Order: sequence, then structure tokens, then C-alpha cells
Amino acid sequence: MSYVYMKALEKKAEKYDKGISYLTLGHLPKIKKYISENFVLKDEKILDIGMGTGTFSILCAEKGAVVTGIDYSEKMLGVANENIKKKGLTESIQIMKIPVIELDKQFTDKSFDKVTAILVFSELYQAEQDFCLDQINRILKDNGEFILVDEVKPKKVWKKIVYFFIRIPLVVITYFKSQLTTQSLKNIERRFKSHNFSLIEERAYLLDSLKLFRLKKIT
Amino acid sequence: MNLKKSLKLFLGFFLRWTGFPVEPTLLKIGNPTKESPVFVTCNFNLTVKRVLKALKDLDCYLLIAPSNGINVWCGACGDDFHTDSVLSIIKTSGIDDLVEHRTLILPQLSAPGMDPISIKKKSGWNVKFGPVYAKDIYSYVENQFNKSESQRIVRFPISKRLEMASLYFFLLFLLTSAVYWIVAIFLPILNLFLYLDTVLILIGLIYGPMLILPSITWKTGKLKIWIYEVIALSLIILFNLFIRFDLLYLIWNIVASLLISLIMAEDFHGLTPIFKSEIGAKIWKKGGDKMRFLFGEYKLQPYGQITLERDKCIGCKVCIEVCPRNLYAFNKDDDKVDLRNSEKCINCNACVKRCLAQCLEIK
Repeated sequence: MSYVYMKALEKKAEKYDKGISYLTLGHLPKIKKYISENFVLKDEKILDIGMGTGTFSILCAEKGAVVTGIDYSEKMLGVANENIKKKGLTESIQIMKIPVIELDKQFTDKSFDKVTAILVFSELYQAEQDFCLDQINRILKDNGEFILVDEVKPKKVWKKIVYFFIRIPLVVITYFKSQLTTQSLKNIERRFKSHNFSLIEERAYLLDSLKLFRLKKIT
Repeated sequence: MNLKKSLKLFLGFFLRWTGFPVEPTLLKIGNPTKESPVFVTCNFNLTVKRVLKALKDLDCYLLIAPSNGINVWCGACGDDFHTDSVLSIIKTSGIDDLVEHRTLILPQLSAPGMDPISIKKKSGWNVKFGPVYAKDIYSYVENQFNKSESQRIVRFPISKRLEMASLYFFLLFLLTSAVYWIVAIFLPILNLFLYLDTVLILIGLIYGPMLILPSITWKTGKLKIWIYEVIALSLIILFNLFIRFDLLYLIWNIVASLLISLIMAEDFHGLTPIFKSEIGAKIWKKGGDKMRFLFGEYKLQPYGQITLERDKCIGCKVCIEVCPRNLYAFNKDDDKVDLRNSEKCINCNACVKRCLAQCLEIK
């Protein structure tokens, strides 16, 4: 439900975290914490796609993981860099400014234990998402995990209706505040299998409009 | 589904302040072969519709690159339609296997955002800037992919002027209507007749200046609007003096027309593709890099006077190919480029960014 507003917020990198936390009614920081506390181990190599302001990368690095964060937005990475410096984690987090479409040239096969993409996939178009899934599959180690958190459309009718009415004012605000697109992730569940991923766990938040998928590479 | 598409196109036409995307993809038009040309466009729904219409008699491929649903020129200037959009669609569409040649034809107006050298380096594709308007593509292809001079120039004919006015009118109309009828609940003076009168003023003050734009030659856009407003005001007063006097209507019309002119005068020239944005230039002079206009926020590029350092010029002719105002001409005497009528420059920055010798600058 927060996607449209998130777009409006996207330009102001400094305010991004606060806005996102507020818009997901405090869920997103909790989800990030949940992932880093439960699934991230010491000395693991993690690729954080769309690291944004680096909050998740920092949580992982604090648990002792070695993180590589990529993002396309220079502004976001500027904020991320500052945040990382403040925490003194410059040695365990590496920042790269590359678009997702260059994943194939940047990383070698089977080089990461975990790959995460938090609120990133919904900004890509379908063919780009498919490309990303293939690339993530390639760079994951054999029993590696891919953790995807993103906005989806609820399936139950009553939830759809409530979601629709919450979304309308947000759409209007974004239309007036920025000239950006609004969309949620469509039929992503169906595509996991064709890209050689099997679903281990699925968790839903906020009227099923925000979902966490834990996927395992099929070998 | 078709109804939804039509509704989106309708909104895309009138509410262009925001993006109206279609899914980026590769389209086959006619029966393309391995030698067929490959065109690229943005993913704004209206643009895609118009390009498809222009290409219907050709056998070719069309790549719809992601630009957040924003049109080619605005996207290229505002960092939405750029080198990476093209690289992304080349990679995901698999066009590499469909054709044997390696030449992409991009819209000329995408030049501010596209770096042909980087595209060549990362994907192996050569970039050629085609005509400004999609409707010229057919004759461009017939002419062995050579652009004529007229195909390089941006025009602002009456149809386009009405289109720009409509986009302004529609937004202000929606806002005015909403405010009017909410206030009308509490103020019974605001009746239907006064509403229609307000809408009429909106139409007159938005479509009017756009319609007569070529025939008014005052220097700034502000002046054009205020002189137009003075004429409109005198008409209103004359109407009240000689035809029908009503104090409420007189005051209402004067206030409403002043308000609308205030909005129009803010950046009348910026609304056209043949003058440079005045508000943008003003903010740039003050040192700002962003412009807020009505509800949108735009990233600014340098504003000022275009200058050419002729000593550095290597005669690559890129500026001639990308300038939508036709300001450059090749000088055969010393194989360099001449800059003519530099006051006509609209600061789109295409030439500055694409110049191979970096001899152009906006100061």
C-alpha cells in the first residue's frame, strides 16, 4: 500500500527511512530486523540489491556478515555511505553503484550465501525481474537463499477493497507530488519455480499487501 | 481491459504531469527480417500509440524502453529515459539474436539522456538519432536513413499548442471545480451559472494565449500573458458597462482572471518547446538545481547562453544532428561548425552533452 507514497519519498533520500517506516505502519523496520536476526549468520556473504540508505546492510554487518550493497540511486548511496561510516562498518560493507541489469557482468557464479531484495522488484518491469531472478540464481551458492520483500496485491476480496480505498488517497498525493508510476508486484509466485527457486517460507503483512518470501535455489 | 486501456490513454493525454507507463517490451511490426531496422522509444502510453501508428507500414522492430511512463524529451532531460533504459531493454528483449546488424535508431529528442559511446561499449550497438517526430520515420527510412533538415526541427503547430493548453486546462479545471463545489455548499451565491462563467474564463485565458502565440512577439512570456490579460479585463469591463451590469460577476471575473493569469505567467514560455523556461532560468541563476512548478518537481539543467569554442571544434557534426532548433551549420571552409542565432537556443543541453570535443558550454 505504500508504494505510491514511497515513490514520492524516493527523491528525498534523507527522509526515506522515516517515511517508509511510517507508511508500512512500522512493519518494514521490523521485517528487516526479523530477517537479520533469524536468517543471517556470521561470516556469510550477502548481496543486498537496492540497498537504499543501507539500513538492512548495517543490520547484517552488525551480525558479522560481509555485505555487498548495490543501488542505482547516487543520492541513496550517499546517505548509505554516511550511515555506514557513523556505525564504523566500512570494512564489512562494500557499496557499488550499478543498475540491476549489470548483475551479469559484476559477480561470479556461486559467490553469495544470501541475496536480499527489499522493495526493489516492484520497481522493475517483468522482463527485468526475470533477468534478475536468473542472475540471482546464478550467483547464489548451492544451498543459498534469496529473500524477497515486496508489495503485492491482496487476494481476498474484502482485503482488496480495503486496500483499494487506502491506496486511492496515496495515489492522488503521489500524482500531485511527483510524476512517477505506481504498481505492485504481479504474479511473482508463479515465476519462482520456472527460475529454479523453491519457496521455503512466506509471510504476509498489512492486509496481505506486503509479503516476505524466502526462496531456496534448486540444485 | 480495452476500456481500462482507453481510459489510461485519455488520462495520459490530459494528465501528463505524471507517468503513464506501458510494459517495456520488444514489438515486431509487420514481417521483420534479420536486416530490418530497430527503433527505440519510451514507455509513455501515448507516445507508444503514436509511434505504432507511424510505423504501421514498415517491417521493423520496436523496443519500448523503460522511462517510468514519461515522454521521450522530458524523460531524457529529467533522468528517466537514459542510457541504462536502453541497455536494459537490449539485454532483456534478446534483440541481439533477432537481427544481424547493430544499429539502433533512437528518437532525436532522447539525445540529452543518451550516451552513444557508453551504449556501444556496453552492448556493442551503434546509436543513430532519427527524426524528431515519429510521423517522419517512414520518409526517413525511404531516404536511406538520412534526416532532412526539416526532420531535425521541433515545431509547435496549432494541434500541439491545443494539446499543451488542454493539459493545463484539464488540471486547473479539475482543481477549480473541486474547490468551487466544496465552497458552494456553504456559500449559496456560488450557483451553476457562476461556475460556467468561471470555466469560460479558464478556457479563454488558457487556450487564448496558446492559440495566438505565433502572432505575439513580445520578449518574455510574462509580458505576453499580462498584455493578454489586460485585453481580457477590458472586454469584461466593457461587457459590464454596455451589455449587462452585475457587480458580483464583475468582481468575480476580474479576480478569477487575475488568478489564472498569475499561474499562466509563471512559466508560459516553459510550456512551449520553442522558448526556454523562464522560471527554470531564474532559479538556475540563483543557484538552485530543482524547479517546483504547480505540483511537479523537476531537476534543472544549466540555463544561459550557449557558447561554442571554435578552436576546439573537430567537426564531428553531432550537434547538427541533435539540435532541435537547427542552430548549427557545417562550414566547409575549415571543416568546423558554426553557431547561428544562439538566442533561439532553448537550453535542452543535447548538444552540450553529446559534443565529442566538449567545445560547447551553456554559461
